[in-house]
Amino acid sequence: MGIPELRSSALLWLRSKLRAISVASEIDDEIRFHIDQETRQLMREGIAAREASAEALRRFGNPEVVRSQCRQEYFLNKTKQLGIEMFFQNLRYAFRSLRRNPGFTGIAILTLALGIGGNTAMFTLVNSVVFNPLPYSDSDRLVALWHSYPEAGLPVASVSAMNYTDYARETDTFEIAAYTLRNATLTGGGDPVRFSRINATTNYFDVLKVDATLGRTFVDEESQVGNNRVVVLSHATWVARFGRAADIVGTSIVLDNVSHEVVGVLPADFISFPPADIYAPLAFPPDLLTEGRRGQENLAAVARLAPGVDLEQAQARVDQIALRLREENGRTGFYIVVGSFQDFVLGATTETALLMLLGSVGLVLLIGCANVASLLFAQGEARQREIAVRMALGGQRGTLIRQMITESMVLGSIGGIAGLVLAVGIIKIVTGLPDLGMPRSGEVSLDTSVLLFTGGISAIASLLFGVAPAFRATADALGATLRDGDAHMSGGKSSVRARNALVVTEVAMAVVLLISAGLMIKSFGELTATDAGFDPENIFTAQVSLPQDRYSDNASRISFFNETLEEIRALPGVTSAGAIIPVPFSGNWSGSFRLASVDYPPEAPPPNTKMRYVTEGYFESMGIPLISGRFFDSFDTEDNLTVLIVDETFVQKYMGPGDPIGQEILGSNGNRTIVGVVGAVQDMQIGQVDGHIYWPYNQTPIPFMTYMVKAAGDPMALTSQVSAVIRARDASLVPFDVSSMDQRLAVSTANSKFTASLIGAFAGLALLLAVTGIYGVISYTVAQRTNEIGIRTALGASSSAVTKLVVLQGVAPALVGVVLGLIGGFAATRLMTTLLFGVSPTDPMVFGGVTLTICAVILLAAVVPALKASRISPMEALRYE
Amino acid sequence: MQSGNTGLLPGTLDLLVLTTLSKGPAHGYAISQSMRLLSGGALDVEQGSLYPALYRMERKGWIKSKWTVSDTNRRVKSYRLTSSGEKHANDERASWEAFVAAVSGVVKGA
Repeated sequence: MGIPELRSSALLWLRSKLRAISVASEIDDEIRFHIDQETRQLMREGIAAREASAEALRRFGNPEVVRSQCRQEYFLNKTKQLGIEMFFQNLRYAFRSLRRNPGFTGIAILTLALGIGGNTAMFTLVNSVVFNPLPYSDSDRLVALWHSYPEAGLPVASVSAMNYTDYARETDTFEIAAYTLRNATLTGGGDPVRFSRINATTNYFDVLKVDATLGRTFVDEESQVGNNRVVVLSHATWVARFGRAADIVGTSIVLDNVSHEVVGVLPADFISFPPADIYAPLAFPPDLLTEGRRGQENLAAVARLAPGVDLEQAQARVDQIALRLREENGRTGFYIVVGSFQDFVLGATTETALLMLLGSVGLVLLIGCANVASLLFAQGEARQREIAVRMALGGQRGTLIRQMITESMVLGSIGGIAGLVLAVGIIKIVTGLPDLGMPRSGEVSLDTSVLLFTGGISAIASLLFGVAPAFRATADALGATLRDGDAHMSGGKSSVRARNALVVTEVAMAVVLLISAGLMIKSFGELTATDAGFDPENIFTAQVSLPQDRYSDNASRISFFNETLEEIRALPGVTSAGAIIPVPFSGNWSGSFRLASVDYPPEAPPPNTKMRYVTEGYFESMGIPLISGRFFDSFDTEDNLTVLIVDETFVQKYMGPGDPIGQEILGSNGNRTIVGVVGAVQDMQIGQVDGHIYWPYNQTPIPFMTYMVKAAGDPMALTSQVSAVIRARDASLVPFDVSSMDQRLAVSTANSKFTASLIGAFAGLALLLAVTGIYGVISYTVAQRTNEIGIRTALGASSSAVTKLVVLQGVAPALVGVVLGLIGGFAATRLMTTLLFGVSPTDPMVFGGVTLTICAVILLAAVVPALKASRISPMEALRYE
Repeated sequence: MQSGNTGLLPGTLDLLVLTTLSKGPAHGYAISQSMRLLSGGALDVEQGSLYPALYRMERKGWIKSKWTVSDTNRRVKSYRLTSSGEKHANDERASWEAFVAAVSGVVKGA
């Protein structure tokens, strides 16, 4: 069989399948053919074309009657086909009627597309980020373990190597792995490259149940210092840096000047939290595993529950350990918490924010549905006569309702499809945002559950806006309408009530949304307006990490940073330069301390505060003011007095009333003297203020520091010059994490900005929809009452009295909505507390502002149609029909 | 409602159609033309009433329809007699003849 035959037989087959569906058009074809033939026959007999076709029709009889009789014959005993046929017929009617009202159809579809599109996009985000399990097998068995010092205001703290070793040894309720994010520089073969590296205990991949695609992951022996010079590559690194080399396993690469053997490559779909380029085994040197280092908490811990063990049992087990540690080590206020790894990775605020956004966009859709419903109510009334005629001619009410609901379904489906397209666009934009600040944003994708969701909400929306108007429109069609105009006076009453109910709901939902948005936006405003305690403008930042082998002694590190800083200060365009670790807003180190002057209760844990290591010039570059005492200077070397600087918050929180300068902090290698007090600074998240202890670099030379260079102009213009200074001194070093301080701040507020701008957009959309909805309802009511208004004016009512009447009747239900919305707002915003910074969930400014705005908008929506009404002349109004 | 508005005796239209189709497949218009010719114009019923009858007979399995393309290249639905239709036509014809014989006997005898 050739292609054309195949095609034509396929067409025939398709046609026969469609036959049951298209029987109506088949009958039409048959009838038309008959009448055409007859007409032609008559013309051949010499009758003029027009008379011939009239005669042919006369001889044939009423085609309508014939068609309906044929259909009845055809569908006798074929209920199913009849249902399908009815459905398609309704569909045809629906399209025809939607085409007839392009204005209504356009507005309804646009409204629905915005609502459904927004919901689909938000659902996609929530689904991928919150609902989708983490991409590990049996990921629901994975838990995170962390330390907690609730009484010290530190609910989540990391785990130390010492603790990890204890937990791994003492529990059989789970298998635990620890990991930490570091960096490494790859050298050899071209320019040095900076990698992000996860250092993990050798069982890390076993706990996650991940196997290498090439080679292997770690083995137990590699947890020994000296045996741990191996790495596993992420798939992306293998592709991008090693060109998918199949023989990569067994080769050596140089990381931080130390040769490492590549033992494996991870699968392409593997993601770690946080993501990394390479993975190396953690080996704990013996001196780290001593009781004195138990407080060095810098590891994250993930564990897989043993078969049959649930979260409560695991928690009970670590509670015992925590109890023992409290007793043995005098660590009062120390707790261990086991929780879902997914929640740990996600962070509490991401989930709350996304769910709140999903709720908000849901409200937008509901408001949109109310608008479409109100349009349908109006349309139903405009179609009263048509409906009444059809029912008088024997149309069943059920049939009419089915037909109108089919119309709504068609609207909903078109809106849904348009919404899906819109959502794809929104998701593309959102996931393309560089600093979204949201975990798992790389995993966002459309999947079947999203499609189901879109289909589901489209159908639900169609029913929401379609059912009531359909019942309403057919309710009193038989009664009043045909008996002429009095429908406007009496029959309208219950439909006025229905529309008023819509206004109430619409306004209430808009108010809730506006309040939530107002709070988020105000919170974001507070966040960005907060004085960080330093001047982030024009500061270039870049980190350099010195390899241990060539910079093993303190002197080499001290001279490296001091001398490079000296050269950087001499660069043109540089105002001042210093270095710090960790950079504010990029990292947090904390540690415990005891002041020599304070008597601490023996069983209480020592207080814990933020620690940073700084060189000379840091405070000047950041514009952090000196409150009293002095900054570090070049005399603060290892041979001189060991010193510290603290900040104002530290003094307020931990020190007594006396002069802080000269006071001592206890240390294992002798006490340190406070020589200066500097201004307080914000931390990790703007809004967190904690005390700081600053250590002088020259006395505590850590091998990695971040340069902080204050520029006279654009800080990023310094990038190549600063790199050149560093490379000139040591060609194997690459500055990394290069950015401006402004950018670092922007990243830290990106999440709040994202939430605030999205909810702001939703609220704006909701307000627009609500306003058009209210305006539509009120002007429709006015139009309906033109007659009555005319009579009132004719009888002597002043135009201001008419205006007042119309405004009052329009505004009253809206005000009810405002009150309900305020109550709803009070309830809803309680859930937002964790997302708000510097704003109470019942902020009177926001509640008041929203109330004023919405009332003004309502008034405007009512006044315009009312003024129009008052200008109608009585004659015109009475003629209006 | 069977043959309700044809002005024919009940069952007659069916017999006429089946008889026409026993000479070979034909489309609706051809059937109606042939009926008019065969009856010499005496049975000039409203032409449209033929179609519900065709649908009914097809449902009963006496005839079968098929879409074909006519000489003038138009889509035409053509009907043909099935074997059960043929049997039914024979039965009907026999009872019709018996009926005619009976009626004519009565009429002649009067």
